[in-house]
Amino acid sequence: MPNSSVEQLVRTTAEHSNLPLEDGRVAAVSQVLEVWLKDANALSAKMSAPEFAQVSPITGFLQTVVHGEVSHEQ
Amino acid sequence: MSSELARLSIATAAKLVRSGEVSPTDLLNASLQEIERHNSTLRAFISVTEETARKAATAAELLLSAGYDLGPLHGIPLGIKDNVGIQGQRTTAGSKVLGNWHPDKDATVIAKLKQAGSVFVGKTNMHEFAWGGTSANPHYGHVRNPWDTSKFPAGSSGGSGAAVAAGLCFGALGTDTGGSIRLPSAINGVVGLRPTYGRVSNSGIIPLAWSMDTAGPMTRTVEDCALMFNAIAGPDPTDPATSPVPVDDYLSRLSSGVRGLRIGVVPRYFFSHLQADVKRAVEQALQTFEGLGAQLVEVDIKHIEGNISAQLTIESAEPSAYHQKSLRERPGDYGDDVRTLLEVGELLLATHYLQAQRYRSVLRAEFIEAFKEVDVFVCPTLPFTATALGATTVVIENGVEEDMLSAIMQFTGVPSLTGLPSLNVPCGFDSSGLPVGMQIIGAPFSESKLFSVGHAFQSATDFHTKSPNLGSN
Repeated sequence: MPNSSVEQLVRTTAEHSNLPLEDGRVAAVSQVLEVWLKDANALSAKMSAPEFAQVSPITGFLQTVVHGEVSHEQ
Repeated sequence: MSSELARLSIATAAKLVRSGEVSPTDLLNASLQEIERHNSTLRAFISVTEETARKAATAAELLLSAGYDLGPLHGIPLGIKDNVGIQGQRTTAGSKVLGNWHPDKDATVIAKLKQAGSVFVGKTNMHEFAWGGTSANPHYGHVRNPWDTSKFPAGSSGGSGAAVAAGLCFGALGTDTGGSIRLPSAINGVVGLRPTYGRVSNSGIIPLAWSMDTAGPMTRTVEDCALMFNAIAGPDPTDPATSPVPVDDYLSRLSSGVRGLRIGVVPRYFFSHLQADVKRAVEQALQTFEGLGAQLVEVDIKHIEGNISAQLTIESAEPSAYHQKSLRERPGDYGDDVRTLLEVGELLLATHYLQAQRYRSVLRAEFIEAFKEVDVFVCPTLPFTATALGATTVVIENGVEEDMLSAIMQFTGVPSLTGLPSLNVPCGFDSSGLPVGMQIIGAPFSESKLFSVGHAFQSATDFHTKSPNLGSN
């Protein structure tokens, strides 16, 4: 049962996320997730290095002025 | 004669329409005849909209005869990827999930192409919801590669790539999140542009991953790609991600050449894990550029490793958010592979997603810094040529089988994550006669430069003039 801990994670998380996942699906999802988690953990470790401490995610957005919300007086 | 007409470039067809030598209906008939001959094999189109196309072609003729010339796309038959909404036409995104959905308005890119006088011959087949790189579609049939119908056409815009390569339409619209325009362009031997993120509106296009989605043209020549891009680029108030940066005339610098151009190469990453034929073709392309007066500059992108994981994390979490309701209510309507990916995307941690988005900031900053030293980067579009239809693994080196999804996005993920524009240009063939493509990657909003580099290459080579031989299938 090489994937048993991942399968358990998949089954539990799916259950608590209201994601219907029958047994056959659990195995298929676990097989992919196990590989991706390993790589994602490695990337997370890399991004936790001190040299990246000031890096923000690229999903930040630029706010624009809504008419009437900003005073134009000097 | 019909086949020859169907294989003309858009630029040539447009001149013939203006001179009155052929009509938009002639062009449409030529495309429809090729679709009739080859679509049952290629499965490049999910739907062929002959009736509305004939009305559009007739309208284009009436406008021209009345003196109204809408430009070089006036009366040109195009294919539209089936995740792009056209008012009143069934849009499936390659899935059963949307059922018999007919959008009540045009996507912004469709409205723009209509304003330019284009004629839509049909909706092209694709990987379901664009979430995959093979265009192996369990609902509408696997798209086949016109160069060898036992091979895949890549994806997700596989139908658009196969249709353009086989002459079923003069150009097509694709969408690209992790490589879905560039991959099928490379594998089918056509030109395809992933624009700068925010340069083309996504309004009315079914999303895959909001923070990486783009739409762009797929054509047989770089000039045609610029022609189509002229029609679709620009800001859109209905898509807040579009940029207000003014658009260029993307044809204006087409012939400016590459003399003095600094081409960045990253040998450590882009030339280190790929099939020998692909490496040889792209290295020869670099020699061609040098012969034209360009200078090669070796560059190292320190943190380029990690991009595949970042891409898979983002490209799985965002679609899973979009599909969350349907995945719970009708999971059986998804194909098995896409369903699995959507389920995986639900189970990654929020921290994984955010670390991947932070990684994008790092990677983008490194490329922006590198553009102080180089004008463009050139690299392979993908590390292998067309593989067997339906394959889920691929061999790149030393007989080792690799997962298709990770392998196919090995080189296209970099522009996707950084939001940089990237143009695929055909640059050779492997020993089996299958096309090889290279990416020309530029700084943000440098599409004009990419077109001039690609056009210089096509002016010096003839790879783009070769056509697949489909016989009388």
